[in-house]
Amino acid sequence: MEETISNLILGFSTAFTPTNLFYALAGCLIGTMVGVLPGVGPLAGISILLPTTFGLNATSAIILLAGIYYGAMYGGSTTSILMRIPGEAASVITCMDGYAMAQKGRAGPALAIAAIGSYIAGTLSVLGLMFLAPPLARFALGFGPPEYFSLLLCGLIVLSYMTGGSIVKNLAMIVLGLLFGMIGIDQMTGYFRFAYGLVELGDGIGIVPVAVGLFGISEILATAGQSEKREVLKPKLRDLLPSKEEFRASLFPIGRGTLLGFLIGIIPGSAHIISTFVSYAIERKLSKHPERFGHGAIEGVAGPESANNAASEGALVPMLALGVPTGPIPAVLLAALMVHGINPGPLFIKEQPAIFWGLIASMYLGNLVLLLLNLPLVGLFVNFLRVPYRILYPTILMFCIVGVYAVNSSVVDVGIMTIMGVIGYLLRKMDFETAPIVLGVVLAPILEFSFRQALAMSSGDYRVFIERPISLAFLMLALTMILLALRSLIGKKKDWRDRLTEAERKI
Amino acid sequence: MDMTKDRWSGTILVLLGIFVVWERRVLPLGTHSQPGPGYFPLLLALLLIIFGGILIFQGRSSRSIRSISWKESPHAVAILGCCVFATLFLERIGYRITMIALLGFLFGILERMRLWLVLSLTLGLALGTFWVFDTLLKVPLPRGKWGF
Amino acid sequence: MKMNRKGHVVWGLAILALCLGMGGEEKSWADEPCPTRSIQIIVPFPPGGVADLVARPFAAALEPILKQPVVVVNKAGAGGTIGIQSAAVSKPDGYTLLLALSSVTYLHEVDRLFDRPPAYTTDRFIPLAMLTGDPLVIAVHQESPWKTVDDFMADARKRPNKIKLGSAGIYSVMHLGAELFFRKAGLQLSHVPYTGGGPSLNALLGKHIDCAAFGPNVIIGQMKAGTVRPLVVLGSKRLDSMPEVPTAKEKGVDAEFYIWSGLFALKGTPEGAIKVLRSAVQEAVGKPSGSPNS
Repeated sequence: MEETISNLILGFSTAFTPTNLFYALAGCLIGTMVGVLPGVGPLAGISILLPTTFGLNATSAIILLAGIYYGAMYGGSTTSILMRIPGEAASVITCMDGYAMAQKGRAGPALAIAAIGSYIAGTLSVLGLMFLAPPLARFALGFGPPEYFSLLLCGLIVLSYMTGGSIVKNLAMIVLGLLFGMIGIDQMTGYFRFAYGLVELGDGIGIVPVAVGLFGISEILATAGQSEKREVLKPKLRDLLPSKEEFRASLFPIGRGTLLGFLIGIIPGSAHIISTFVSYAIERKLSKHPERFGHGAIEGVAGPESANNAASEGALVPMLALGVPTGPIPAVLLAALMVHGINPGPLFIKEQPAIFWGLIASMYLGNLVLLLLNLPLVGLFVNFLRVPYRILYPTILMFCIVGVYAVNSSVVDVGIMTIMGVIGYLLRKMDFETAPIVLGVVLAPILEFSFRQALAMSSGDYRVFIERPISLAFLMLALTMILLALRSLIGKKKDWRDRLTEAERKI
Repeated sequence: MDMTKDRWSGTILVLLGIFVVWERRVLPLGTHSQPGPGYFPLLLALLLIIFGGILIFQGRSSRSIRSISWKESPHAVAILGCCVFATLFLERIGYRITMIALLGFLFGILERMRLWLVLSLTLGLALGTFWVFDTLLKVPLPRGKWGF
Repeated sequence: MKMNRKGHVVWGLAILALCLGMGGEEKSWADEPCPTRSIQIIVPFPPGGVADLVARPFAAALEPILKQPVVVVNKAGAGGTIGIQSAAVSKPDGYTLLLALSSVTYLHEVDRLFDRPPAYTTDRFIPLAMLTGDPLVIAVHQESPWKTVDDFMADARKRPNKIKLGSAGIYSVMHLGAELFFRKAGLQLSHVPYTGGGPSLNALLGKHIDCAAFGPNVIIGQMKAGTVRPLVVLGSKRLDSMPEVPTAKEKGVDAEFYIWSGLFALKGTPEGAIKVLRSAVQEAVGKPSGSPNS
């Protein structure tokens, strides 16, 4: 415990320098703008700006990227509340009660409680991260290839169960993503797979072009031609803060949302969006006046927003402690860390405590800066949205192209982005989710490699996956999920997931 | 058998799976203790075919293929054309000229905005971002044959 | 065409951007023989192994000499082939370097063994300097039952194909070195490939593998902490850092295998750049902080 505190102090001294404070500010600013712009989610934002951090030192770079991450999470809420457009997927729930509050003239309190809730959730999660990461890391040394394989498999199945839409479709998308991830030189044997002579594909097709294409480009392709005008509301600065009753009402939802979000975030493969749905459902169940939900209940904003932020932080635990990215955004952050010579993993915390605690401290810093930054700047950000979409989308397109090119100085990446954009566009038309593809691409190398290593370890005996306890546990969990899903497939009754999907569609 | 969205997508998945199975025939499957590079792709392709099959069988309940609105597709195709143009010409004629052409097309022809707005936005964004990325952030952007 | 105030501002900004945009000229290495932006060194293995442990302090030493950031990028897989291939297809402008191990000399031959086109050819690279060269050391976990290499060899003879050997990948230096020793000793082990020395070390500590052949600088730290026990050195004489560890020859196994790391530039890099890089590398290596092990 003593060691933890002294390490934390060490971390804070690294993080709280004027330069780093500047980077935190810059990151949060950029992140909020990125989150506010519909179509460019935090993944695209971080990916596009990753090359620009190459010249910075490790801590500053991570502070910048983490700032973008949080900022984007928060920025997404801003457009949800003000324009009923989810700036990014996880903000969908906020659209419901948040926008209703805005229509009643309570946009300020909604935005404020989203910021405050996110801050509290973020800080508590960082504490959780602090205390959970070392024990998790110790536990993680027991993770050999069979455990990794079962862990990731379980994560993928849990994801396909929890994301909206039909399970079969999600599983198909994961499989598609896994196949995409196999393009390139095989890590084990050196065979060139599915590359059709394009030597640049040797190290795979890359997360950034895939993510930017599937989300950014496909969004532009789908929405650019629509001539509908988007209404923008400008909140009055006077009404910016929530009233006493609103504060009191939000306290418990924030607490519950934080806990829920963090736990869900830790589970590898879980998408942050789940935490918002579950939080909303719980708040609604626990409320004395559930009929207020959907018409401007502040609990409907406080809970999900806190859950979202906590889940984002929770997702970093496996990444830092195990070196295993559990989603596309932790994957890009992992790449960013590795570019700067930081290798998260079981030995990381023991061997490089200064950097680890510096990271923790910088995350706390990012949260704080975000809160201080966003409350006053809400009015400014809203003006950004008044730029007509006709001007906005070519600009976003340009940034996508530049960003994707800049990662590897390769036009092949731009080509991949374009193809992914088309695929994403068509998939949207056919009612498929595109997020599982990105996860598949990210996890494919580790999944396949662990599988083959495990079989090498056991000399071809498939029982190795069942004989080891941790691996068995994960496989059982995965099996449970599949059975649960099959039950709803066979039964005609709509389960909670379908109801949520429908709710999503109505927005 | 009427064609619904799910049936279409299911069919595409099945075809894709068959394609992968065909393409991976050059990759050895390996043994049980040393699965080769073709092992996992084959497994995934089979899963894809199974999932596609399930979608085809269950597809009756989803909406018809005709219900997809392609309203914005001419616009989308134009934007797509811009991306393809960028991919092919970015390194041949340089970033700045490509972007000027791309943005000029989007702002001027597709969106039909006023001339001064088009010019200022196009030049401003293309050259401005080049300056930010190449000169300020030292991230090299392609220059064309003429060095520009 | 009337322009309001907003129009003037926009025009002004556009013209400013025009001027700034025109300003940036291509500084090729030929005109100005000093790098103008960051240089990246590709390491074809994950962090923690020989290549990575050599690259990072070296990059730090190179930075003040070249006055530009030197970034280490890990591209792991296929025993090093993925990273080497990635370096081979990158632009030969002097800003991408490769830090490879001895395996770079033969990994493309592996492709020929399997009747597939080589992932790269050695003539794509211009050697700049050899940075380190050490014999491999076969090590086991501290808590394993084998106290000496004799115990190990006796046990391996009793249970062929049961003891697990980790490596940086099939045909990597770690793999071939270990296999050479075992073949000459008449032993058969089961091979579990990883992607580099770093992950192999992790696996050894987690007891997922029983042994592996490391470059000495990878395990020095763990050895001192008492978690890893070196058994035998695949070199001509004993190492100063572990004088109690016998060489393979002393034990009657005629096996020597060295792991060297070298810095390479790409063929086609301008002459001026090569000159600058070579002198910078010489200066960086001369600095006392970069010494690896014995």
